[in-house]
Amino acid sequence: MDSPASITHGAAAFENDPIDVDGLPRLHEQRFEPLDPAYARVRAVAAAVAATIAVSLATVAAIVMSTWFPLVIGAVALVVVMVVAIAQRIETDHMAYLVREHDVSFRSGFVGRTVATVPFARVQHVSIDRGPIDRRFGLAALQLRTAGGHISVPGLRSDVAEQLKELVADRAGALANAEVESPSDTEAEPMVEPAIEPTVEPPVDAADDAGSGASLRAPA
Amino acid sequence: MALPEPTPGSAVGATLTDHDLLARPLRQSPVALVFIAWRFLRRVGMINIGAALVFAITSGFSVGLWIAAVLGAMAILVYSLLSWWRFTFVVSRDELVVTSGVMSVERLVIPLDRVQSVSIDQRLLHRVVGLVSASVDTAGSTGAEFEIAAIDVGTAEALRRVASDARVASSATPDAGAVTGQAPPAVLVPDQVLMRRSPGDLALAGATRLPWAGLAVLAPLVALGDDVDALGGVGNGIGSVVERWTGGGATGGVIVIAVLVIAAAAVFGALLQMVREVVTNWNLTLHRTATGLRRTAGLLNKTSRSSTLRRVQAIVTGDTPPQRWLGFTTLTLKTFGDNDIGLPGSRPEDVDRLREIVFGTSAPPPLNRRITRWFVFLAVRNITVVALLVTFALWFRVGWSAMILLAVVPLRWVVATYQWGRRRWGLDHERIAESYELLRRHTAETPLIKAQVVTVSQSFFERRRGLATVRIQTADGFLAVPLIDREVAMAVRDRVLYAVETDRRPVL
Repeated sequence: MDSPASITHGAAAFENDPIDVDGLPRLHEQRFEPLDPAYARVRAVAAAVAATIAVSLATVAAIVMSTWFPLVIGAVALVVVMVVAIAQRIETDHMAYLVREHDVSFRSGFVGRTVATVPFARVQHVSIDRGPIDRRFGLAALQLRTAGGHISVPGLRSDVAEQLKELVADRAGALANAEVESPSDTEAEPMVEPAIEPTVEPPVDAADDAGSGASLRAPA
Repeated sequence: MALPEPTPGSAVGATLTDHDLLARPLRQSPVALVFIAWRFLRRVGMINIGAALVFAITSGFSVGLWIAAVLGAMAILVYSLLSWWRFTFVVSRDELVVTSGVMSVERLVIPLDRVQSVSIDQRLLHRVVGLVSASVDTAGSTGAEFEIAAIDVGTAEALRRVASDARVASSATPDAGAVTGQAPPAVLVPDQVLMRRSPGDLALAGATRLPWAGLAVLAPLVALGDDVDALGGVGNGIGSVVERWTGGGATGGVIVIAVLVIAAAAVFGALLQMVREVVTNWNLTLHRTATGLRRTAGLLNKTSRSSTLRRVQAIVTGDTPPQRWLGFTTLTLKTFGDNDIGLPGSRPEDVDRLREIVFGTSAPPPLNRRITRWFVFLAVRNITVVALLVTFALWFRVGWSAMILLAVVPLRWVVATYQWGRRRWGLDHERIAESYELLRRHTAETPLIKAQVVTVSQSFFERRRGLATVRIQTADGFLAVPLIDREVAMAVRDRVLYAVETDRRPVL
């Protein structure tokens, strides 16, 4: 092993031992939960909307410019949208999530496969997002925010999403309060109050957002 | 007026006058108008303004343009005035209350013990009028929570002391959920100087950097060579000397001249960087304060950045071969927020010492693993595709001599093999680290518990070969190891998750 004084690691002994995971929980051995089957339909509807817009724009352009060229572009756009939709369909079949005792993982990707994991101890903010199409099908997306990025689990049934949100909020809040150093050292965002007006307004919690959000690091 | 340094051995707690000073709402100095206007202009975009100016000048000065310019200037003035008038700050009952806003009034309430750092800077203009700017960071903010553009040094220092006291007091009492009243400062520890950089150190650090700057400055000069008479004279002189050496051969002459130009650019670049380093980091000093670290530096622009220890997310070092040969590196403490703490000219002992302070261990980071050799294949494959495409395109213009471009492929193979040989990573129970090098070597280490999101991903290329990339995202950047065995990547992930989920210490 190098002496502490050496920053020239060129002479570091090369080892390639397998990393010891005896007794550690292995994520890849767990079975992930697939998303709600309706989510595939949500994405298909979105693709259909995009295709319709492309075709209409191309047609309008063709009529206005009275040439056939925009129609070619429209056809190409249509093909692209369809290919993307097929890829999305395959991807949606592979998408899955897993809630364990201490973290939430989300698996996604078609060409590039990715599994992202957020430990409850790092969750700062949990929120539920619903797009217009999601609402029609009764689905929602659960977003977990940390200080270093976020993950978003789409295609959950609304009630499942709400349950998960409560679960994550409770767990993360409990963990925040159990931190070893002074509890007042937890990450808290300052309150931002709205414009000073003659009438008294309730202070707006800075961590709330347009959907239904739960701020876990509420000012003590 | 220099930035005040706390005298060694003296108590640096906030005094009652500090609290009194901040007890009434204060405005910035009127000089802040200039900075506010400047900030507004910067946001509009210097390029836009420059383009507008060019347009105005080339299209001639008409009355309409003058009126527009005057109206614009007045608008900016009014906006700056309003902004200055509205911006007030006051410390009351252990809370810092900042009121600001032009259109809508915004009131920001920050509990004092959440303030993690108060950075005090003194730009050139500030020095002329004897003021400073202060920016406040809190635990929940990625950038500065807010910035006071221009106030006097006394007020800025008072603010810093008051915030530091509140932080020390709250961490001293275990259940200080809500600190009411004026808690007396629990521990008064004088700031301790950890390390300094002399101008000699800085000059050496600057001179041994990669002198890219020199090339950028010399290239247009050389291009203009024939047009500028004076330069033409020098060029002719050099040309005749070169001709005598190479016996008048054209390619020999070009090569010699090219070498001369590159050498001159390197020297010039080194000089430029040396000056820049010395001026920017004049009197660079790192202090250990009661609540963390503080770095002060600067000759023209004085800066003072402070940060708590916990905000440091990673330790990064970077050095060039000459710097390594001389035995020092540029050490950067990557912190949550904008103010990374950079320390050029650091020796290995400095790195170990800071690592001990910030991460609790002085042992060097683990760097005993390699990524797979597919890295070389991937690099060569990518460059081959690009080279083939470009050669094919050029073939239509230049003919078969375009094939010479394909020589870049074996060159890339050699370079990539070298890079692969120098690329390392590793992890132990506490940290994960990586190191890579081409002309400049870069190492990064971060404790496992600083991970916020852990990702194992596979590109199409990796999937077909059973490889994967593991990526550990911290609050300030990430550390990713690509092209490793998938089993190893998943094991790293599980190790990191285990560390995060069993360690109850806060990491921000």
